[in-house]
Amino acid sequence: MTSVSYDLFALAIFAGLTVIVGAGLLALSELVGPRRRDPEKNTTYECGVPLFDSAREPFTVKFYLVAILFILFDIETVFLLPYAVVYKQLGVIGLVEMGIFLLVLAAGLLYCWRRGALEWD
Amino acid sequence: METKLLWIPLLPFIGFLLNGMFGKKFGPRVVSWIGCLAPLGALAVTYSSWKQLTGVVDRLDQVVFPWIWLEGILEIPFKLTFDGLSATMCLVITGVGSLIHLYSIGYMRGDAGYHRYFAYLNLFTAFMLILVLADNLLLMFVGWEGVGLCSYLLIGFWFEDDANCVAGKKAFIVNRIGDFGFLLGMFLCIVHFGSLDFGVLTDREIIAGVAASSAWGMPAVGATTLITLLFFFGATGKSAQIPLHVWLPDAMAGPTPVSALIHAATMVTSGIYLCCRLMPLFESSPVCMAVIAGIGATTALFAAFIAFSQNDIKKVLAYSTVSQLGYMFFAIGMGAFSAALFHLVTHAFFKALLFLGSGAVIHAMHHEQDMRKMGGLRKQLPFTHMMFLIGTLAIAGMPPFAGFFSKDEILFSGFMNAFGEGASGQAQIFWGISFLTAGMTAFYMLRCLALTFWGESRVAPETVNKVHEPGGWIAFALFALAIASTVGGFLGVPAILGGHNVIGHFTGLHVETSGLSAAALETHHAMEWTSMILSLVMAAGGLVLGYFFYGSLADVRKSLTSENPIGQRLRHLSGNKLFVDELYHKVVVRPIEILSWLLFFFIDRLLIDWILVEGTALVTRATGDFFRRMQTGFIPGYLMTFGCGVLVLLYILLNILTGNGS
Amino acid sequence: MELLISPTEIEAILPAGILFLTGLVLLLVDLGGKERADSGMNPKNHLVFIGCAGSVLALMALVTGGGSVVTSLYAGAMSDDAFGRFAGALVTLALLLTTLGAGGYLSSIGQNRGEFYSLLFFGAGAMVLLCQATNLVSIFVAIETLSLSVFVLAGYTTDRRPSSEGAFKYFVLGAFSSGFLLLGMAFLYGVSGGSLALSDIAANGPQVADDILFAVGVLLMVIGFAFKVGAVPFHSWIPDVYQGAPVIAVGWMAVAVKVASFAALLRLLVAAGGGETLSRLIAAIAVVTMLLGNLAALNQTNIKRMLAYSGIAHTGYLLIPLVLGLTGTGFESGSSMLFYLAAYSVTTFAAFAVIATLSRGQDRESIDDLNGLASKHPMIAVVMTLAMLSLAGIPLTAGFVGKLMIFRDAVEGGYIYLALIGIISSVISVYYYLRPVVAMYFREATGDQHEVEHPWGLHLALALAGGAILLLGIDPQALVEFSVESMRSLLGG
Repeated sequence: MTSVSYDLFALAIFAGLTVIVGAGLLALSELVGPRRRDPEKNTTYECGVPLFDSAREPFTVKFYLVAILFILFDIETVFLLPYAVVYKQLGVIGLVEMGIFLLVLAAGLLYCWRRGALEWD
Repeated sequence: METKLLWIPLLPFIGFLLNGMFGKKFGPRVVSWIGCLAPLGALAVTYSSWKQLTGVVDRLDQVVFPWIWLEGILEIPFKLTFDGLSATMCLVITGVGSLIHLYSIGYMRGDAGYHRYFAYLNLFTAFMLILVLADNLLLMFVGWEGVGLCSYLLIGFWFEDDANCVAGKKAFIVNRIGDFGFLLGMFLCIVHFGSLDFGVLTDREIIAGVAASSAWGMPAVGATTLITLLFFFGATGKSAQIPLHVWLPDAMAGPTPVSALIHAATMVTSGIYLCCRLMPLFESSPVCMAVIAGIGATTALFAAFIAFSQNDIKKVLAYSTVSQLGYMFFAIGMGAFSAALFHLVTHAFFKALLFLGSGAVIHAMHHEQDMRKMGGLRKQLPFTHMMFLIGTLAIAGMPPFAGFFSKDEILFSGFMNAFGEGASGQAQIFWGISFLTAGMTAFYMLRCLALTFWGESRVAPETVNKVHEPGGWIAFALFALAIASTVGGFLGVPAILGGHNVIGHFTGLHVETSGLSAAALETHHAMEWTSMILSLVMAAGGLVLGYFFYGSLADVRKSLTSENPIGQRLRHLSGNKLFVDELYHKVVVRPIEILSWLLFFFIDRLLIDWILVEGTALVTRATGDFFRRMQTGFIPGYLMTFGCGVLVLLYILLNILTGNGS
Repeated sequence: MELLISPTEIEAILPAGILFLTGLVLLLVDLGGKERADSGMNPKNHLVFIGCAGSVLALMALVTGGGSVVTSLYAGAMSDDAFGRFAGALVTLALLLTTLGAGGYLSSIGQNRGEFYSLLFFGAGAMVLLCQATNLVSIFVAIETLSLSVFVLAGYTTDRRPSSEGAFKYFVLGAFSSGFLLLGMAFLYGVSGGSLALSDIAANGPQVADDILFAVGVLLMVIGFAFKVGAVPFHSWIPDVYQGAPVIAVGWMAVAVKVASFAALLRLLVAAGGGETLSRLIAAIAVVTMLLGNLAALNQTNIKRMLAYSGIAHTGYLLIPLVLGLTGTGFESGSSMLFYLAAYSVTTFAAFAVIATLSRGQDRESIDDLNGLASKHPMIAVVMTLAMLSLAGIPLTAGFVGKLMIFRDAVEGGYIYLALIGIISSVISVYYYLRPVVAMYFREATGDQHEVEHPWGLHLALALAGGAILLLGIDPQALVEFSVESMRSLLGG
């Protein structure tokens, strides 16, 4: 038996134990535990406040729009911060490239703005 | 380097462009002028080029431009060549073609698509001329496909009737099946010869080298055998031989001059031309030659048999064309390329005459083609009758009409193969078939003549008074072709009748017999006489039999075909064209249709439209949830296909690799 | 460390740069504010002009620049060779034609907005980069960028349900296929000793026969590309997406995505190799693709769906040179693929542009809608006929020369069965390619279906495409030579 398969064997035992213990605990609670159902117990746990209506109410799409825009401009920050660290090493060409990046981003912002994506109503 | 060759196809092409683009504005008068001057101009150029072909100069070449030119890999110029063979073809195409153009002025008068008709006809002429002038296979293929396209457009010319469109499509697709052979043959030529030039492909030394090599390690099949078989398959498509003959009779849906030009005189003979052009290549493969002879003889018999019972005058002529083309292939298979080409030329004359004659009858009868509704037309149409009679005698092979000489040469070559030196039983069967067919040809043509022109009139009473002789261009074209059918045979008078085979020598296809000793020559001549007399007797017998069967002995004929069980069965078979269409429908068309329909049904209809669209539409209505439909609908199915594809590919890959690796 | 950019690097990226910049300009020029709702009806010739100018500039940059083969630009991310420039030029040419046609079509359906053009140009820029990319990461970035642009284009007409539906399906399946592409890249990265550059993979990568992981990696990448070009069984999105998307965008997708993907796939396989086993698998895919595409097209009544299946069939033909290349006879047959791509591009574009001219936002996309076109608009009918004949591979059209080259290669390479199946399936295809021709010439028009306006751009694009079909069919010489040269530049010979 080579060492590789020996390791695998140990892994298999471990995996088997995990499954057995997990399933055993679940089965045990199912078997042993008392079962008294009533409507009150089946409701969603809401910190004591009674439920108004379904939690799956649709949000207005505007939230998503704002979220997407947020992510977009967030990435800008993610990209700009490391640039500050290597600012000197990259030199003029780095500056030019960052400038192009910011210009493109600005164009995107301008587009969002003119198209009315930033207005709530 | 000749510069005027290009004008031969270019003139009709210009005619096509002018008539095609401005025909509607020109009016019929100008359209006719342009339409007819174009092939006439081409005829003039052909004639003057032909005059240049003296004994010293035997070919003219013109490189128009380097077409596909990869130095050292593949060099195909757009090159035209004018030698004896193409000159003969060009003269036939432009000569007969011009007459048919002129005829069309009368025939198509008043048709709504007059300009369209002439445009297509000119385009056809241009492509046909490219086909015969091409100096390499690829350029020839351009013409080959081009004439197919024009044939398709002209068969479906009267597209108001759906059946015509179907016929056109059938012709096009059957031809494409043949092209499949042509294309593969062409690729093999590139592989084995490294060239598509006719100069290389007909070089006997190179051929001998290639013939020795086998095709893709298949030792049983020589390379040239495979190549020539593929080309012959291509030729069966275009020249309507078994198994691809089915389109030609349906192609009669087009206007009659079209049938005369394309489906009798020129396009359908391009298969013969291809074989003649590649004569040395074909000769190098005895297997292929035997196949050609067999298919040719069988087709000749088979089509003649079907022609017995056709009632549509054009259908009789169509099957007769198939039969005569079979004759030509038979000649090629017997090695008599010169005889095949000779018959091609004379056939172009008399078959065009017969078609145009039938066109004149149809025209006179106001588009009635059923011979059962004709009869006795001799009195009303004496001129047309005369012309048709000449055509019939010519095709039956009566001297001194053209068909006699060419058919005699073919039968003689078959006779030599069957009973001369090195005779084989196979060749005797082929000769027997073609000999029998000669009689059958005479018989069914006489039947056609008799039903149409002789006996009592069965013409519908409302048309009987309107029947009139054609005039003007129609009569002129008929007359000119009748003369050609009468004297055309003198192009190739055999030596025993004191002639000198002009056409054979001119086209360079003639095989010399002068090397024979005096005694051998004596036998040779004796055999030639025997063959000639035999075929004459056979043809005359057919004619006489037909004359009596459709004249005074009609009762005997009726009792034979309707009371005798064997006669009935034969008539049933013949009348239904031996059920070939039905066979193809069951064996070829149906499976493809079913497969395609299954794909359509299961994927497009069942899966998407019904289960996914209709099925989910119910769910959608129930839940009012649009996106549900997208998620439970298509995409999982598609992902399944995708995933299964990946799994299968990976499985195969791993299977092969682990199989190979360990 | 000083970051440097050499002039050759600028020269190499210039075409893509021009395209991206034009896309940006187009986006900003059409910023109309809130009254844009009705402005979709305007033909907006200025957008078309800017777009044409941009694509012509990019085309000039592609054609004039380069010359010699320069590899390892941008730290091995891309290379500058005639191959990339050839494929890029095809994409840009398609872009030019699409831009010309877009104004007339989009205004007829009331959706003529700057976004469409900028999406076209962003996608095109990515495609040009994809043709030049020589690094797994740059290949992936380019593919994803072009996919994003194409997803949105497919769903561009948001008010039409089939369009959104198609785009959604395309997106989900596209993401799925990207996963395979990425997984394949990971395999290659691991096996070839930790390098992302194709040249390193070529140099260090073990051969397929030896290494299963390597073969699996290449296969997974091939699957990713097979999805993009619509090879069976990864084709299921094509009919739905083609049917749903706006016609002019379909023309663009059908042409440009295929050109760029095939170029990248060819570059990948030339570098990575793959050996006999992979070639057998691709041959199987090719056979199934040719047959299924052509058979499924037979019964379609919607012309866009028919062309979708026909496009699948053509993918099958295009796979043949790859099979030949992988068997060890070498990738010289790639030149046939380049030529075929060019022929296919002009032809397919012409067909879709004709439908765009007739459809005009009224969904006239059934074959019956072509009835009697020849008598009303003979020139449009002629272009459509040319396109159909070229797709079917009839001589004197571009498609014939392309098929001739591919099948010749197959026969010469000893793959007679591929040529046989190819020819048989193209014989079958004649049947359905003739149906539009029959409809146009042999049937009577019903009603007022051909009452079209005359958008100059579409007509110009049609004329250019029709002319190109004929030119490539009659005198293909220059392009054939050029594709052979391009292929040589890729093979380094």
